[in-house]
Amino acid sequence: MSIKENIKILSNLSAVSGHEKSAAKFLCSKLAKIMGQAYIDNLGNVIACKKARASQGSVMLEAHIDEIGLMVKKVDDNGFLEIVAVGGIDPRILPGNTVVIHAKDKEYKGVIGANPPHMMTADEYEQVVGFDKLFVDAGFDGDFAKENIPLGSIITFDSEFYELKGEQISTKCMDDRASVAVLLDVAQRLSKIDLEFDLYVCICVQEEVGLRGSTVAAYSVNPDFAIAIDVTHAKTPDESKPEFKCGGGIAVCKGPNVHSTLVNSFINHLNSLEIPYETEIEGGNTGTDAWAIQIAREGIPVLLLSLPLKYMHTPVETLSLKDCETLSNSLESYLKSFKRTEEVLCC
Amino acid sequence: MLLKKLTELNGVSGNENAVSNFILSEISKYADEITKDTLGNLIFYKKGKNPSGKTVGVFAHMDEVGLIATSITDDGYIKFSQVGGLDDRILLTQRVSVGDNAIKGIIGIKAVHLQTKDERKRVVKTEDMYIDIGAENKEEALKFVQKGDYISFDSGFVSLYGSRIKAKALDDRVGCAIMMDLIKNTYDEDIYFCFTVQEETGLRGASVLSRRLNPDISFVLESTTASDTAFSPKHLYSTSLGGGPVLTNMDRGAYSDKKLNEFVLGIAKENNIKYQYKLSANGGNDARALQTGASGSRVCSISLPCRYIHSPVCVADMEDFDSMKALIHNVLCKINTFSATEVK
Repeated sequence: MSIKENIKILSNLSAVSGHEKSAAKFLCSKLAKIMGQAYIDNLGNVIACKKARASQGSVMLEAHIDEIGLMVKKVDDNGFLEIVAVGGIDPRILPGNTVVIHAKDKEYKGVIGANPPHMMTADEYEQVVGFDKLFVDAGFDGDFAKENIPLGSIITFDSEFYELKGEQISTKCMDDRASVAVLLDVAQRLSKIDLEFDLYVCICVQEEVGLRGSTVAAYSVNPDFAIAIDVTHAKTPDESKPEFKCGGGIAVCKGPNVHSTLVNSFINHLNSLEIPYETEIEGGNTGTDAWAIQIAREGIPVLLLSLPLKYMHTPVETLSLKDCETLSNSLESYLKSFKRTEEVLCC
Repeated sequence: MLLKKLTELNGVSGNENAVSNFILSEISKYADEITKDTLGNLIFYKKGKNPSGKTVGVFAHMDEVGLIATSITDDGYIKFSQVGGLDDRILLTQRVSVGDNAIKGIIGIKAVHLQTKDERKRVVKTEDMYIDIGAENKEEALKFVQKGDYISFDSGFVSLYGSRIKAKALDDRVGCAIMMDLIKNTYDEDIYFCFTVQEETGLRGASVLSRRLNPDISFVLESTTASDTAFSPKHLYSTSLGGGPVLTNMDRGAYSDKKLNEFVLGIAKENNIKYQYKLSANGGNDARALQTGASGSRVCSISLPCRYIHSPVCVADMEDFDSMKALIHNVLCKINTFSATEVK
């Protein structure tokens, strides 16, 4: 299956932080077929492994499965659902969106309401509608909603796989489902290759609420080194700060969070194959799972690679398939370029 | 389903062709005479069995609110302005369809991580927004999009819980759907079924139509604001979902004809059709242009209560829709008696 097809399937899964179970099960069985072994740990992380015949070390590839979303805070007497955010969400993007309410064993579609201009004063137009005034309308009546929608039910954005020009994809949870799609692709491409080290693919939970899954996954796997895959901000017309462009190649992080020998080895590899990349400089916390992995156990060398993404934490997170393919190609070829992990870390 | 098909067509004011072509292809066979005027209004004349000789028109507008492309930036993004009245606050992150080739785009906004505290407190205005179609630069964007291209929300018809539904453009494909169904009947009265253009930009289609037709009686089939929502105090509810079709005494532009309204009310009672009155005088529709157009008309609006009107996610109740259709059908069955006795 292509990365695009992987993204299409994975973006449809719902995995708001803390509620990743069904998505994890799906990935666990998929990865087990591709890699030979896979299990779900106590926190819900998927840990898959392709064992080497005579192992010369281990490498861990990591991406997070969780996505930002909403949660039901209160069901009012008329069946409207009051909401809170899970992860960082700008409330200004919510009115007018369609959502899916995951209640008990059933899903309901709803919309995030906003009162119409006809009823508003000029002042009200100028005010941001905060979470205290936002609600979901699924057409419920009060009795039905109170009985069937438990407080704490998860709400996700209605996912629509939207293909733009220039091989760009726009849908929910590309942070970090696109990276998961890339890792599936890498695992698939390496499935017939005899590697001389154990290759782990970890799809971790609860990144958006404090890098919690990767902390324990890195402890369990205890690899010789890890490569974390995430997204980074791409340039948009209203923000010139990001240095990366969708479709402009992957970003390789440099800074205290990452292992400089590993970074140099990877960059040399990219250069030798003339694979396009940009360098992302982060002077401290990268805010990614790499931050947690680095200090797992007695310390783990880590590399952080990112896909440039526009409109992060919205229902229309947009990135380039070209960048996803570049990332998959570079990971596959890199993992085939050495036999022992020592070769990478000693120089 | 007719309403699904109609709401999923794009017909921003001034660009109603897709809607009008669909209507023509579906119902032309039921009309005795069809006229398309200069502005694009469609008039389907249907002869009656026992007409009063008076002119009776039923009106719904084909257009919907939307956007129009105003320029393309050097880096390939589309700037736009509004067509019809939209709240800036429902636009961010919407999926849109640009131009007749339905190029997919999204209304972007920088990530929450990159916003300053001040920015988070400010409503982003339409003039500061942009549409991303994935183009590399202006040159590439121009292959797909031109200035002046109309832009619609890309928001499908979805069934919600029970009889509730969500769609864009319920205002006023609801009226179109009802008329497309009713024209299949033959009533005693001669009826002009009129599908108007450019209601949202100032009742412009209905204005010229009133002079062509000069109707004695005009029924305006519409969608109207329902504000029976969370955080909205009950005394400010304008209309409520599930309460049945809406009768209007007055709005911002029209005063319904008292006798005609009473006649409609009588029909509702006689047939046990649920109804409600609009409890605010906000909003306005083609009734205004028709009431004061040409030599004047007796007008009556019959509307479907609709939450989040003028947004991509209008919510309505199909039971209200069915009652509204039943009410109008029963009204048309007897309108010739009203015309004969009440209209000079």
